[in-house]
Amino acid sequence: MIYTTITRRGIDLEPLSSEERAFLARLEVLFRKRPDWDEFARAWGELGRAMLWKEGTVPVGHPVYRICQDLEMRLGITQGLVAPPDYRDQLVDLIEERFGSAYRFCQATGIDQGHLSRVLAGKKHFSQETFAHVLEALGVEIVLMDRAEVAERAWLDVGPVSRPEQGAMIPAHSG
Amino acid sequence: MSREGELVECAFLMPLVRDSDRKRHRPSRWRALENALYGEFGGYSGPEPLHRVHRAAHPSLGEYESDVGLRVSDRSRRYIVALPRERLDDLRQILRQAANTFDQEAVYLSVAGRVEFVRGTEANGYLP
Repeated sequence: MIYTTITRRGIDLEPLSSEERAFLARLEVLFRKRPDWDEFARAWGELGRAMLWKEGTVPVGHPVYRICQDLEMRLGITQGLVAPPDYRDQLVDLIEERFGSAYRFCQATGIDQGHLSRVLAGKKHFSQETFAHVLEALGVEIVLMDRAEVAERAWLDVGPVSRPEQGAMIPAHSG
Repeated sequence: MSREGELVECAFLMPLVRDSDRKRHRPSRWRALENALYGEFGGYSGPEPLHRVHRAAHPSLGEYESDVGLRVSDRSRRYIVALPRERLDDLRQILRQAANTFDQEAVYLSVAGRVEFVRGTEANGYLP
């Protein structure tokens, strides 16, 4: 079972423990009530500490953590408080997924890390040549999509099912 | 090792729009900030929605004058971080990077009630 993020990144749910699945199932119930963006951000942190992380470190980058963030961003987008993701958000995820860090990506491609940071922050753009180089290094192609469809996906295309009305996006039990 | 009583409460505001073009921030920018706060300090309280209201001699970018004469800023998210005083500079460094990442001229930071504005330069870099 794969959870798909708003940047089309797949997160495998199979390795999750029963406690982690139970946590995500409770979070999904809250998410479907469409709470305020800030309220949901507070809630997942508090619920995560209560059910999973206790007094320990919050596991930044863990699949559960990433799903929490993704759900939070979906609410922010649908409430008009966060911009829909664009190619730069996809680049962030692809770089992390395929190179581990921006540093390693830049080492491998020869792209200046400062320039990459400025592009990701929306302050600069890649030249056509550099962008082609980035796409080649990541092994991806450009697909043109209507903006309305991009925005719709932020809410509707959650997890292994395509629409929330169809059922739970995070199974409480495996199998 | 600091005891809990030696922690200092810091609050900072992150406006919901960029300074330069008034556009909302993209998801990866907010995620980068959360990652930095959880990774460096183990977490935070909030975020809370906030419209900062104050009396200013001159409104800065993103502020406007309310009908009762107060300067009101854009809606922001307020984060509260409790940390040992010796780690204050670590938070300031994150906020310098956040100022660049979120395209903010400065980030409002309150350290135990004392307000400062944290500004980023290119040399400070960006949130990873």
